[in-house]
Amino acid sequence: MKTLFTLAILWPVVLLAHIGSPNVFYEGSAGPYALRVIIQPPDVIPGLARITVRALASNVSKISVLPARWDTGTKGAPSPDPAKPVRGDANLFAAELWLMTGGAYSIIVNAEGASGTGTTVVPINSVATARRVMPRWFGGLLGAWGGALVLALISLIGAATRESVLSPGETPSRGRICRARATMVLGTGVIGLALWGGKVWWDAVDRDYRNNKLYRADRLYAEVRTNNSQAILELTRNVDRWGARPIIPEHGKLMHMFLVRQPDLEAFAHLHPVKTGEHSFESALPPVPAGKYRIYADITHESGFTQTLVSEVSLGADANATSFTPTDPDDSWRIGRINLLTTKSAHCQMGSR
Amino acid sequence: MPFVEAAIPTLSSTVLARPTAIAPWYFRLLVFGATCIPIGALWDISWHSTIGRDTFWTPAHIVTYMGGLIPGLVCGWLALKTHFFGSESERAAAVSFWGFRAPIGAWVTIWGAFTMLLSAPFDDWWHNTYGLDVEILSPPHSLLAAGMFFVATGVLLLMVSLQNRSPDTENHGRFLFIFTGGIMLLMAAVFLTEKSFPNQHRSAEFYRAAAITYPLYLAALARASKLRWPATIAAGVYTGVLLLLIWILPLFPAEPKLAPIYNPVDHMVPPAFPVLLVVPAIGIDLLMRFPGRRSGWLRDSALAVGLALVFLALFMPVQWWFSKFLLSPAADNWFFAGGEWMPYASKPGPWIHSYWPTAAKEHIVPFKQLLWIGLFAVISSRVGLAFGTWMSRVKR
Repeated sequence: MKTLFTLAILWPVVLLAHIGSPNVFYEGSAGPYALRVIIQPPDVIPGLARITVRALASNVSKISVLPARWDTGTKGAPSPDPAKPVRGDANLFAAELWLMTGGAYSIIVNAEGASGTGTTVVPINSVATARRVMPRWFGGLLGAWGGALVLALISLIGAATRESVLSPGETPSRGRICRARATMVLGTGVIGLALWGGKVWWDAVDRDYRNNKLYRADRLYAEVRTNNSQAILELTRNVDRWGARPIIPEHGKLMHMFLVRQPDLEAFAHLHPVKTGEHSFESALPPVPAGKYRIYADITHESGFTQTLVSEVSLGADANATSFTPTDPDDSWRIGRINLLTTKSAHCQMGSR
Repeated sequence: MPFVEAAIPTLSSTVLARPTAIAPWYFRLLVFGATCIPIGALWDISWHSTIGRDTFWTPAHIVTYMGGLIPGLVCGWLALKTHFFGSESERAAAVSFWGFRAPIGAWVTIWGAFTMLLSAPFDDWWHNTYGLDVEILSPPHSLLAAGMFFVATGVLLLMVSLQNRSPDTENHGRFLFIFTGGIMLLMAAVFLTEKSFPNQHRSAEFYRAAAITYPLYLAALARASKLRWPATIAAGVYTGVLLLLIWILPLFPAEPKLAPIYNPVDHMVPPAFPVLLVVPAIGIDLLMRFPGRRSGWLRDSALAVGLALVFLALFMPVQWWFSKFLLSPAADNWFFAGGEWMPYASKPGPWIHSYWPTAAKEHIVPFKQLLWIGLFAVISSRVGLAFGTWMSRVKR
């Protein structure tokens, strides 16, 4: 899950997603064509990504899509899949693509029309995020069916022992009937053992899924310290398997951090902490009012995989220091009610209130 | 109540005197259906190794469904026919199951077909919960394999009952029985695919899996069949069907439809070359000449040790050295399909022509592991003999 709140629009490209919503919304150009692309990544991997492409002008006749993994690129991608036009809307196209492995993918969107061809690339994360439980009615149905099969199998074992070796018309002796019953008891034990083995196997697969495949963002720990009356926010990243690759800058910054006061949203800061250790960062805190703050820290790994790390910090009166030297010249903050989730909000000037 | 024995009809003496063993027309249909199961499974593995993407209705899936549907429907019809419309002799030559009468093989096949059906919604839920599985072995696939196994076993039992009811001067059902046995050997080999690549033929894990599986089938068939070379013929069926797929599948062009593609194949990927089961099968057939079809608990236990020793003494050295050839450039051709089995999602590298695990300094089977392999082979042979003894007496 990731969240990107863009406040400064410098390029005609917007990528948006939200914490709690894994979908990717993209609006940009594929050559001469303006497109809006919405991607619903699968929530289990391997799984199907659902892609919707809207041509923002009526000049696109064909859309095709293909997935390219970060380490294989287009060389390791299959031939493009055509996106089918959606009935009733000439500018809307839909496709599905299998994402077979976890990691960073690019969905390459090709557009064709009267103005020629154009291509654009939409990055997405392919991770397992769903934790499903079998519905009761479904489990009951499978259990009933399976239970009937178990009973049937035990009966078959009895029938096989009791009668299958007799000549046609011969009746089973008392000894044979007893042997059949004993075999059924033994068979019940073997079947029980097999079912128990199946349950152990299922539990192991489920445990492996929960511990190793289900996506978990790196944990982020935040602390405040004071240095010569300047409040410094220290961040430490507890790296999980998804965060093992080194971080690379995004728009020139290794980390884009957003501080949002809770619950009134009356203070907001967009800071760019600097790296102080292998997994640690720090940033000078601007003079924001005391209170509880949510931290959203966006990082990008070498593979293109992005994460939004979440934490909380309580800022006391010390945070509102009289002297403030920003860590990064692009740091900005705002005090007062703000509108979030805006695609074209005003750029916050450093020092503005 | 399912466990109460129903009354068994007795036959008049004229009916008992009448010969009963001529292969009905639908027996060949049953064997055809059972054959569809491993062919569909191997085709599906090739499909997933080449194209990757599939739907419910791919040709490979349809062939597999036919493998369950044809025997299931035929045996369902047979059960209804026998119970409601059967003659006195037909009902007397059947077993009782929950108050209904039909041959034991028919009931086993019907059970297998219902189990295959149960695995479908379970497998669908599994994919939606844990992701599409790209392995052969998963709990729902194992349930499907169990269903397939019982479908084929039911067909096997129908064939062997025909053989056992035939006079010794006639060979009704003998070849159908052994052919079906060979198909079941192929099904077992498919289940072991992920442990049986030539690169694994110098690992204890491969020989352990082989020792648990193959002696059971070969011993059972050798005990139950009235043919002179039953295990050899069954191993020949396994080898022949697999070779046909290895030679035919690559004739069809195909390309991967899923990313990431590390190995850009342009034709259907064949299975790996079959293991040389024919060699130990010959040894088993020769050894089984001595006790013949006589059985006894102690005699069979001693025989099991002999069968295990023969199996391992022939199988291990042959496979050990033949795999060296299979991993060499000399095997990289259409006949042996050297490293051709590699799927699109595997990164090419020197590992394709090396023994696994590549990190091991030398590939030997430690003595302690050899003892375990021997023990598993003995148990497998003993269970096979027990099953074969029972099959040799099945008449209903």
